[in-house]
Amino acid sequence: MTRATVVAIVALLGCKSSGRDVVVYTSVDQPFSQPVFDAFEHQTGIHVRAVYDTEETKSTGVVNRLIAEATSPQADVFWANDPVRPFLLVDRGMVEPYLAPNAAGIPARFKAADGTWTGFAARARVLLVNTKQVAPAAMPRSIKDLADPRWKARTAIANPLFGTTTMHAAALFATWGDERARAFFDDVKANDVRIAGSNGEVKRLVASGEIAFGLTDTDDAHEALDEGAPVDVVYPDQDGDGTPVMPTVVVLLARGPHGDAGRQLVDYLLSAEVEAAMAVTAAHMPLRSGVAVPNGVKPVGELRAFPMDYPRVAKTMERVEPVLRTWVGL
Amino acid sequence: MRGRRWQEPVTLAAAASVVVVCAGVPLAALAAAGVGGRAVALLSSPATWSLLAWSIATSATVTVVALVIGVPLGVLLGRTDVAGRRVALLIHAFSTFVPPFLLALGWFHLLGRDGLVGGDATSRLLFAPTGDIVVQGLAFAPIVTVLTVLGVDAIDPSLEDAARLIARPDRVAIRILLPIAWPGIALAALVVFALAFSELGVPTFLRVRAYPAAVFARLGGVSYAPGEAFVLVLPQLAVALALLWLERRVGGRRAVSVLGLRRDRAPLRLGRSRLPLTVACWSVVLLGALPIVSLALRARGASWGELGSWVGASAGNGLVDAAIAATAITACGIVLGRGLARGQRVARAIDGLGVLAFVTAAGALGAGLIAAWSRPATQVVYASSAIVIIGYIARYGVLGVRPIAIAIARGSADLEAAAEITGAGYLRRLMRIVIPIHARAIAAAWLLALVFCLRDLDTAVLYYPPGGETLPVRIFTLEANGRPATVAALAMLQVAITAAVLALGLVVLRRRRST
Amino acid sequence: MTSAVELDGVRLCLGRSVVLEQLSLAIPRGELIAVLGPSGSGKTSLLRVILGLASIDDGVVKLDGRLASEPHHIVIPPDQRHVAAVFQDLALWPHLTVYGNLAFGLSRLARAERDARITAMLERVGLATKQRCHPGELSGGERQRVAIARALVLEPRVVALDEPLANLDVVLKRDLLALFGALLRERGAAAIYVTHDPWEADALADRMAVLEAGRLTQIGTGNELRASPASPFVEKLLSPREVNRG
Repeated sequence: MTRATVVAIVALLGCKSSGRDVVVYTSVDQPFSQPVFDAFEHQTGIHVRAVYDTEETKSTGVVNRLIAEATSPQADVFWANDPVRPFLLVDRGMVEPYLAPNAAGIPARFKAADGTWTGFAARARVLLVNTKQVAPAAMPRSIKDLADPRWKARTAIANPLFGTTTMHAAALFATWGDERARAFFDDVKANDVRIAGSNGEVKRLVASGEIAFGLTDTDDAHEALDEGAPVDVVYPDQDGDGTPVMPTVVVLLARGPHGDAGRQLVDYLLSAEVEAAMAVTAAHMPLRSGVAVPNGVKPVGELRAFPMDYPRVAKTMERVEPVLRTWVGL
Repeated sequence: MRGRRWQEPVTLAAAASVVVVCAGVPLAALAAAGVGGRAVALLSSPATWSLLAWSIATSATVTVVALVIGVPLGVLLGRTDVAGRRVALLIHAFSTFVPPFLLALGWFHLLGRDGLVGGDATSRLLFAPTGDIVVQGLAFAPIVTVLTVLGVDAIDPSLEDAARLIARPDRVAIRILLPIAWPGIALAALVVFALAFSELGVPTFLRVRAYPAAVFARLGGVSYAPGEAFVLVLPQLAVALALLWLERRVGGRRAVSVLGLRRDRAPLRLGRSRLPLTVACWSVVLLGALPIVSLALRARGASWGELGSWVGASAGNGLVDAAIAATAITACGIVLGRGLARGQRVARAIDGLGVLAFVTAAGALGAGLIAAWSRPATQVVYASSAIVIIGYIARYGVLGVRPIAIAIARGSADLEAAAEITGAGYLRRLMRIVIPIHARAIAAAWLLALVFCLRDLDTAVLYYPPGGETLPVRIFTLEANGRPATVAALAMLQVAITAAVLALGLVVLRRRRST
Repeated sequence: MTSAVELDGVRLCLGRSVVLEQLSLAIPRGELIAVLGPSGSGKTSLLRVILGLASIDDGVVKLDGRLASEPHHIVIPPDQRHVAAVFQDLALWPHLTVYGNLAFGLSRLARAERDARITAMLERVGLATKQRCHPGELSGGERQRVAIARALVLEPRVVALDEPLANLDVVLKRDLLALFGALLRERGAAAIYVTHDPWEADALADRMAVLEAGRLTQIGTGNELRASPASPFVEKLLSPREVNRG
């Protein structure tokens, strides 16, 4: 290898970009988040360097990496696919409050008054049902159907140690109380629920007919619909506790190396343009009014939402993690 | 000559330091992350040991499957006149260089309930321990095949000729070639077991229990607990040490003289068995290629115009990082491999560290790398692709040391001694004698390290620098919600890049053989 | 009378090089023929052709009158030719004991007969107590004797020896030469003995064949070659100084 080649390689290693940069860590699925970053790059000329989460560790992997890097942060922005995990960073003092101008259009219950976190472009936890396996009259209507013996070994949920399933589990513990929540999970396990690696895998299992129905997120469910799979989407417990609604949340990280660019990115993410794009590409429900909702996507206002105190759910999540790990068998 | 006596210990120390810094420091940092009182609870939990036993049994079975497929195939494709054996070996080796998780995805597209040829029964078989073992066994068998081919190829031809005079080809292969090629086969078994033991993607995808998942749960779960992850890694390290002891004890140190190596080696003729054995070989080869074919068929629906935006810089990142890492691994491998071949203690110790790092759950190694390098003083390293390269060196360093050590051990020490007598110092002997004589083995080791780094997923996924992800990481992050056709197309791009690298490498190796 | 080994117009190419050219040679049963020649003259290649380890490009090879090799086709594979070899580097299998090295070619025999034959051969070469040793544990001279024992225990019709005594001291060489000669004659096999050393050839062989650049320059007894050398090389090779150097 010639010397010139070596020098070129060393240069390549260190210098990926010679212009302005912003570093964002995100647990929003890359097929949806990358086009948003590409559009931001195109508009501002700021190069976005992103770290994406894997489906299996969804959200927790990226958060844990941020925590691990706390002594020497390299990220400017965190865009989470659920509203709870950012609190793991807020509680550790890793977030810088920022009242983005574009946050004005977001309803107050989906953002912090002091600007530490702001929600937008939401998803819901839904039941994805294979219509070839389940007759219309027998459609599940509640998450409690996961424990119904007539669906024994024919249902699935994603691993509750990762992703939005953790948040959902923690929300149940926080709202129902430990005893009722534990009993529910024990019943679900006794019903031989399959524990999939991710929500995406739940979608795959349902779409392929491996199982009758599973608990997943709206974006995964709509993917299955777009692919022409024989499935239907049920917003569970509309007659009962309600369906958990999960806005994506953006936070500005403290001591990020590119503060100004970070603020610009936060502003952009909170714009109506991005909410509209996320509605179209990812079936995310806009939180601000006046943003068009495509067919098949329910507006947030039309849903009965499961009551969630996000900071409390965040604390509950950490507390019940050992319980969930035992439940999974790890 | 006296003034140059420092050359060997200093060079050995430098090479050893690279491995210690890359592999030892992260493991130490992980240990220092703090374990606390949960350690006893974790290690005394029956669930932990049950899962560990299960993973050991599964990995051992995968190794047996890989050996049963790979050893006979290696002998047949390496030394006999099976029709099209070189092409068969190339096709067979492909699947090793695809991240196993993608092969599982390919099998799913083939045998899932709605797969190309799948149904209820095939789906049940696939999503079960049997499926996990077969998928991994087929994925890792080429490692055994290739190392068997290399091991058999390196045997002094006169030993084979002496046997050919008095025994049929099958007896020559079983009684002479295989026993002498044993160190290479033992290395292959060690590599396969280590890969199976630390494999996370395939069992997770096929919904089968696996010990690495428990480690991963401590790093990717709600509570980030690297100390607990380290405690859980300890039994893995113990298994690795046991494996290392077994391999060193059974592999042995048989020296083989290499007088008059001939280049004109005719293949062993199979006679009447040629046709059925050719059919058998090609059947196994094509079976292993089925998941890749399945991915290719799935990729037909991809929007190729968009592909560039999804690939981004990931393909280039992966190639550059892998090439640099492979070069560093091979450079250290030459020094340490020679030391190992000559029985030097430092080299043996570093080889052991390399094996431990290879077997350690990739997630734990990643967490250790973060703990060690994510500091203000080392940010320039952590924030660049250098951290990925360090991770590759840590994880795959053993792949540079071992093959080179085996090749040097097979050669005659007299060759170097003759140079020493003339006054050549250590470095001169290394550059002018050892490297040229073993150039082919060194090139093969570089190629092996390169393709393993290219295919890596588990090591880099936890800490790649922002914007610096490799193609396998890119595929992995896109996999769940990316369009299946697009993901399959990216997987085929990964295969194509690896195939191109492999083809180029084999051309170079063949040229070296004929010079 | 049918020759044990017969080569007729044999041509052997390796890559672009012609290694053997128009080589014709007949070796009767029981004869020991020494093959001499400069390095690169094709001596080892000649052995490989007779052993069936190399495929010829022209001519024929016959063993006991049977067609063994024809152009680009090895008619009788090596393991069916009843030939044996002592290789230049001895090629003793390092993972097998002395017993194992000898027993490898006798697997078809009943155990008792195999043991008896091996024991007798090892006693003949003075290595009866070394049966359980591995080649790495033996001295140079002992390894040479194991190599010849391994070849002769098979009771072959043809024995090929490729400079088996190279790298040995004069005294050992002399002793082993005497042993080889006695063993070869006892067995009555045809033997082709490749050597650089005209003294060895003179001491051991019934006839000598000289190869130069792949061609058979001359064949005959030592006296015949000395009386009428066919080339300057032959004359120089068999000059008294060259012979006495042994």
